[in-house]
Amino acid sequence: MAYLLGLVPGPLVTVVGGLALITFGRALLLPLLPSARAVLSLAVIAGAVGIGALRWGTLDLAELRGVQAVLGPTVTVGPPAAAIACGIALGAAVVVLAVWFLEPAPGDRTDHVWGGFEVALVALALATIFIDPARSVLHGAGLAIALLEIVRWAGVTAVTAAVALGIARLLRDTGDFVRWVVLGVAGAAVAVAAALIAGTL
Amino acid sequence: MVLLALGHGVLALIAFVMRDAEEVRARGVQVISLVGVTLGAILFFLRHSGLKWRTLDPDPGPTVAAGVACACTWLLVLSLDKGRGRWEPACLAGVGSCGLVLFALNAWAVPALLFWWTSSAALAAAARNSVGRSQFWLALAASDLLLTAGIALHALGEEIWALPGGLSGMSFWFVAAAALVRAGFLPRIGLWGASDFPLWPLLPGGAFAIAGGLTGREEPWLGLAVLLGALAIAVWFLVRPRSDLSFPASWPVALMLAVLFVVPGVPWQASAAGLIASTSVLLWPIATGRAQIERGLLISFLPPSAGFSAIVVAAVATFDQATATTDVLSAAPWTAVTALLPAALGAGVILAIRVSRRIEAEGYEPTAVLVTWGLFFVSIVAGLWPRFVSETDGGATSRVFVLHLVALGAGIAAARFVSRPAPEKVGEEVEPLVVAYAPLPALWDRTAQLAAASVGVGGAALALWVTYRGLQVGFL
Repeated sequence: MAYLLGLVPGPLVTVVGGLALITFGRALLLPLLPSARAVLSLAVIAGAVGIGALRWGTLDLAELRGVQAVLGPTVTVGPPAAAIACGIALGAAVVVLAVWFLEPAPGDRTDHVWGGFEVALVALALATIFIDPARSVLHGAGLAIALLEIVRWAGVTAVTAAVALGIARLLRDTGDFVRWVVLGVAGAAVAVAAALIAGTL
Repeated sequence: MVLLALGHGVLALIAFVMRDAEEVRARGVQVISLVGVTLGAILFFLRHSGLKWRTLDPDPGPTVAAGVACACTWLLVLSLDKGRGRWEPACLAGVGSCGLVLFALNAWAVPALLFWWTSSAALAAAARNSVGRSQFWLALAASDLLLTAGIALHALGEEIWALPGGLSGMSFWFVAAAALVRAGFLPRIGLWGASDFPLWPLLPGGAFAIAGGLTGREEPWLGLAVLLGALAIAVWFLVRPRSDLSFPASWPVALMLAVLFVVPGVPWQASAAGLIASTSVLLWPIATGRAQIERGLLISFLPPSAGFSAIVVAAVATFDQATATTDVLSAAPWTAVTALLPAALGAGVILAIRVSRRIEAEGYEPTAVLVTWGLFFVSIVAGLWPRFVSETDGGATSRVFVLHLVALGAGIAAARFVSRPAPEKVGEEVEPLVVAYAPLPALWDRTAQLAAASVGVGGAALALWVTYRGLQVGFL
């Protein structure tokens, strides 16, 4: 979270590493196949954020934030093929985040709180890379502007997390097969997005 | 420097002298092992010292590989001895470690080759009682011949007797092949025919010393091939019903070698993490049922372990290379490696889960468990110092270090205060761990021994020829 909030500098890969560590902790509670599903979900999310990084040609989180502060959120900046690719990647990542949240499915209230926090963390990563709403990077901004930017940032993150949790609610009562299909489709979508973004470079 | 270079040899002599002193031998082996670990650790910390002695001129990459490999070797001597006071493994570990250190620190081709062969002789002797010794000897001799051929091509062809920072042309490919064979890149065969003796870390240690020094140039296609091989090893381990030791032990070495082939200047964490993880797996047979999660985390390269730093550095470097060129063919291997490194992280997670969640009977040596915990601790501490932040921003390093410390503290607190009872492990039967290898059929065994002898004699003759030519032109 400190990397995503800009409290410390670092590349995007550190965030993926942190998510991998969370996935390891979650998967310790699971048999091998659901563990594999959790890890593959992580791989799709990593691929999606990689597309966001490829769009701007950098893995550095500060640069990713900075370029969006100047040009606008990644999913809205042309050329159209690049914007579409990033949109597809973001959509796939949000759907897969729902699958990831369900491995293991939360039981009691504590599970929901922890799981929700972890989903919010991934949503923060997605928001930071694809739909960062900040129009300044806060340095030198006045208190009111800074507060507004932070609220917008938190709002975008909350909406992203809410969408993922909503999809998870829909997937909760489905069987393993549906989750595998969702994962496969999302993975294919990320591959298509990667091909699209490669064509714009 | 002279103490660090020859200290292991002195320990070998002490072990040899102690061979008849039965009443103090067990304690003596323990003391010798601990001194050996200390010598390896000191060598690691002096990697940037610039201290020179005669033909020794340490370069950080090979120095780290040699220091960590020696420390791991002595830890295995300590653990596998089980208080029996066996002087022979300690003696051979001293000779092998001394040879590896003198090779890794050497600036000149001829003495480096001679010390390399000394280390190999100790390894060959240590494996003589193993079931799969024939294929072990053959692979060992092949790696020696390949290395000697690579260095000989460079030295004789260029009439340059100093070891270069990065070889080129055929020399590079010979030496890279030597590193791969020496690392036990392919599980189950070759060097994995004998993995039941404590000198094993010297093998990947030699490979890392080569990859961190002699090869020293970016080879994205080779790195991609090795990375794909590492992923194949992980997948093979996951789909097999029985846990074969050679797969999780070769996985970290293969992954970190891939990192070194694509980013030669990658931090020391690569070779250190590969060796530490591999050693923890080698300790597994005598630490079953204990330190499972620690062992799993060591081979996963998750943050904040040492290997994670290396992976991050490699990912950033390959990403920059991939986006720096518009030529599709040039960018292809870099792009592929960049894409596969997160996949490797994912594979590490599943491997870690498989290892951590195994249902296995408890049968452990306390020393081996303590050493595994120690290796885990060292790996975490080594990972706290980030190597992926801007070198020009000194404050950034401190902030990331503090962040890692806070995260580690939070993790420990969570484990202590908000942990729940461990869930029932999945599965019903104790999973067998394969550590013994079926011997080759007699004819194959004899053929392998003959081939090993031929290749070994050929390689040794080549090394002696290089020495003769070197002395003839008066390189000393």
